[in-house]
Amino acid sequence: MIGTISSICQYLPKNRISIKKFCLEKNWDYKKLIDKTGIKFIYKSKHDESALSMAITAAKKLKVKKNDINALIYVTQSPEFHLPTNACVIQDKLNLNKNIIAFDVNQGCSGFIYGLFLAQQIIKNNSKGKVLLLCSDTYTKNININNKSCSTIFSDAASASLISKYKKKNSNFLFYTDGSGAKDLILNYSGFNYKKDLSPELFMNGRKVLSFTMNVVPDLIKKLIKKEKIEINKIKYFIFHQASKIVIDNLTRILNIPTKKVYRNYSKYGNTVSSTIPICLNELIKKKLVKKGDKILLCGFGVGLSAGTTIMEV
Amino acid sequence: MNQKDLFKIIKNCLKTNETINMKSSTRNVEEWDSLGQLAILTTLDKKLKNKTAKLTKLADAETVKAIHDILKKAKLIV
Repeated sequence: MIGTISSICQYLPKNRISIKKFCLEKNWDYKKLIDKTGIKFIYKSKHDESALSMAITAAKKLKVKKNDINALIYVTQSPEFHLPTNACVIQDKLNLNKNIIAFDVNQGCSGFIYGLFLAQQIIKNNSKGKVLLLCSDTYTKNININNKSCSTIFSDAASASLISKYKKKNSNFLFYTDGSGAKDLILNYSGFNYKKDLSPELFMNGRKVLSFTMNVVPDLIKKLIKKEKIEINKIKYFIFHQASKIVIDNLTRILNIPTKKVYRNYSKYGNTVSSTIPICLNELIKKKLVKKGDKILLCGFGVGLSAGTTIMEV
Repeated sequence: MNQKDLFKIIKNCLKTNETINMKSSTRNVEEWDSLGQLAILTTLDKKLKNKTAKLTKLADAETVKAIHDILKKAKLIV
């Protein structure tokens, strides 16, 4: 690819929730639940902690010269403001140069792939600088704790990735959008259509989202592999959006990928929306499970409904 | 796969002691919740060698009869 990830940092709120403990409080069968979702812990942001503040904290952890950054992409579905652009607020808080492009991307579980694609286009256009790609979400703030399918899965987190110029050939990205499934994962009345007496509450039709994933994602990945003319055994790792165990088990089975090639960390962090893929990448790098030149297939999917995939080289 | 196999798969997925028949549904089988439905979708796809992933209506099927009819239409059950 023209741009590659040169550094990643993450931020998780201090409040870690044990799903077992939470289910016991609610009188829910935790064994059955964890057996399906695989999620043992989630993170919840505090009242005074926003996606924006979490993104800033993650970005501050990156060791980068501020003058090197010439673009800022902020992927979130938990914006602090509808206007101004949250990325502009972040530019100021991080004291980044003023002669940069900064914008928000309203995308969720496929958001990191969207951000990576846009970063690559920016680098293609101006190869001198680096792109700061921030992903941050606080879905838990809009989840009713009695909603079992959302309250035991979604988790808050932020990630900061630095995308730099890379001399290898341009990598393919494939995307898929099906807005007819918008209602299957939605935060109703969360925009200018808000109702005074209704607080926005996250709704997910898990069956429909799983069905979309099983139906669309394998074909998209197969198409990318064919387009890249690469064999599955040449791909070191597959990083799927960490939706839940049942989703990743199904993708692994349908694509017939050796399980050891599929990286998983949902049990520790839950579904952190747009940050699941960068958090996995960060772990792979920290654990030295990948070396320079290794190829990793990334795939995000979910809210929209949408999906995006690419193959990156470490 | 036949009707008897389908009943057995659904019973195992839901881990229920109830007898599963054509009249069973999310309304009369307590264990048939959203997680149970996910287990049914996954197991059917596995047993039928990835042929049900394209049957998007299966995600909405909340009765054994509805599941049976969708599979029959797709010629995946006898």
